[in-house]
Amino acid sequence: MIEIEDLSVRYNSGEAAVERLSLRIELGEFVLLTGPSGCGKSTLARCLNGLIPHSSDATMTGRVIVDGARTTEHTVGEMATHVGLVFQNPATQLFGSTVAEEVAFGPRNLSLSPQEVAERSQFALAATGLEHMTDRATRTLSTGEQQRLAIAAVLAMRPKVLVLDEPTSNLDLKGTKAVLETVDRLRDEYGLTILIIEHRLSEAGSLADRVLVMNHGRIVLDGSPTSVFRQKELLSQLGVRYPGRRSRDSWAVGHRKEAMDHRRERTPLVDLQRIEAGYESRRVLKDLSFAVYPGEFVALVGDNGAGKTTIARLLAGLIRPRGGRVLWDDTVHRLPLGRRVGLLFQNPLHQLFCDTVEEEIAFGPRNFRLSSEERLETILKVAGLRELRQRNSYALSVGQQQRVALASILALEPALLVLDEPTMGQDWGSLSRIMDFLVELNGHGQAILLITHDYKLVWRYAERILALEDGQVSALGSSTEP
Amino acid sequence: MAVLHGRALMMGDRRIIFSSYGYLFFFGAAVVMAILATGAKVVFVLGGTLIFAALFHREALRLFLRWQLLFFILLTLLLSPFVIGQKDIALWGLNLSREGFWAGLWMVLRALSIALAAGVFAGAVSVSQMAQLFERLRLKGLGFAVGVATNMLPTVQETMETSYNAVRLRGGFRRHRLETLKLLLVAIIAGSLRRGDDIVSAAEARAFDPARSQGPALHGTRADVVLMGVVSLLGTVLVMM
Repeated sequence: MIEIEDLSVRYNSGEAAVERLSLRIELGEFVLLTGPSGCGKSTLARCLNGLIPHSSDATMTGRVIVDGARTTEHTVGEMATHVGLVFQNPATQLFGSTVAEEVAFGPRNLSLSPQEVAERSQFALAATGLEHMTDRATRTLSTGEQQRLAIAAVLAMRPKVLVLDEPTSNLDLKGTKAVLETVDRLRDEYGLTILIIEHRLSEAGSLADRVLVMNHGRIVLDGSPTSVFRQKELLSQLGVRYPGRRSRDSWAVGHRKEAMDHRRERTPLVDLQRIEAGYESRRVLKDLSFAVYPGEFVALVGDNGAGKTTIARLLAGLIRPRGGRVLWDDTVHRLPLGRRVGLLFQNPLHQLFCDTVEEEIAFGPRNFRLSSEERLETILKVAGLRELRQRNSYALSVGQQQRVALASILALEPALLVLDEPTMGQDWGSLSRIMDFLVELNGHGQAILLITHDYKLVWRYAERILALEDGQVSALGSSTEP
Repeated sequence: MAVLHGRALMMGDRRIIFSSYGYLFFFGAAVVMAILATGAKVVFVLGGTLIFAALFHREALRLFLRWQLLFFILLTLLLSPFVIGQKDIALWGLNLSREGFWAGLWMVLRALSIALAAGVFAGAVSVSQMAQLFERLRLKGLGFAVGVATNMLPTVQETMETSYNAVRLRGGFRRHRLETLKLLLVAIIAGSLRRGDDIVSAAEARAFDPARSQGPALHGTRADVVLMGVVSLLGTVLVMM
């Protein structure tokens, strides 16, 4: 179904993304493709539907044939009927105002008759379990539903091959489960050939027939999930996350409950008492109470919309509570906004502004009149950014960008460091490096609140877990892998 | 006889429903008539628009509850006797122009007619219908752009907010305010351009070609024809008067 021969791709910036790669995927196979960030996975996906070479500043050599169609001989539009490509971010691939319009968008572009458009839309919505949502506005869907809609939208083109580029990276446990179940059903019931690119291997690994691991533009491991996952040492060297023993779809299990007053003898760094907060008419946090103690490494977990980011914004002083009190330790209370809480947002690119790494890190201290050469050198050293100090932040990898953003916050020496979903787009290797760095900081007394969907990260690093459900703390315990 | 039943106007057992074409025509006609109507004739234009809004889209009347609008009306009525025309009347020791007063009043009525008609059109026609309308009117690709813009607005707003908060938490606006604003704007624009690339790729991957794009079928109704006839007739009478 997919035949790739001696494929090489080089971006016009000079960077080689894929090197002499050959691959064959049979009809109906479910293939999981993984590897460290920047190893060429997404480039390979873009070669399959012809975006490379037709719509990209990249040079391609070799041969790619999907469902009998050679990509260089067909336009991207023509390839869309052979291969459907679902991108990582649902927000950038939805064009319709309603679910029905979104699914009909592709078939209409093929100039099909209204009846055929309706039939295809119906098929795609039924296959993804969205048939009851046809009139819903796309912007009112949850991220998981939006990603399923993105799948339905490419499915309406009736492709034989479905390629999904990190479809679950923005999703919570529930959303991830729903998307992967949908993909699995498409293989089982409709015989589609599936190629899914993922960093989180536990969930997709259990569904795949075959696992491919890429590194530096080449496939370095190819085999059944059991045989590939057995290569623990190599996977670890490549920074690929070794899958857990079983995937998880709820926060209700996975952490051991313990007494809530285990630190009552200490004065909290921050104490949230009966907090009510929200946006306009929407109430997000309801009667929420918890405390973070000096030097703690706490994880805040929960599904999308549970109120995790609202807590981060509340702690950082970006929103005010409508009810209840946020009580800071006396010494911290006197600090200005930004020095009380250092907030690392999900996407590093939204918080990088300066031309070089060095300027980025110096930006905050300069504004707070804390600048000193010594402080800058220390931060560059501890964050491992000395060699990158003159580089432009935008030209770095996502992992490096995240480190620059983190370093620029740490330069202000905040009393509490809050990380809002730092896992986005990161392979396990770069994520582990950041987390190990945080553990080191924590060892020096830095209090950390980690907000994440990633249970593996929680198990490995957090000292205490707060599970949030519907704006309230539903469970509290210490991390322990069952 | 026509009666109001809930939010719909009923004619016997039949509900009067206009399509997007009908509302677009009404909006266009209201704008043209508000511009062409001279002197007191503009009262009829506003009267007609008010009746249409009250019958077919009452939510649009909430426009009159906006303080900004009331402020605009008051300001125009108060200022125009001072700035337009020859001062020919004295009131409480102030020299005013009668011509200026009437000109200000007609200006306000014109603006109200257009704003109300726009409110009816925007409220009665959904974003998707608007997009379809553009495609049907051979404005190829504009419907797609409207859909993308609607879906992207919350994301762009969120990005702007995040960047603003990030820069604020790093003391960005404590000193060097202008420089910080410049950095913030560059970051937001660069982010939007990158997102634009992703959108183009995703659209291409679904065979989108602006030159060939076709929206869903959009059907006019019989009520549209009646509306067009009545509005054209009244408009002609008004201009000829």
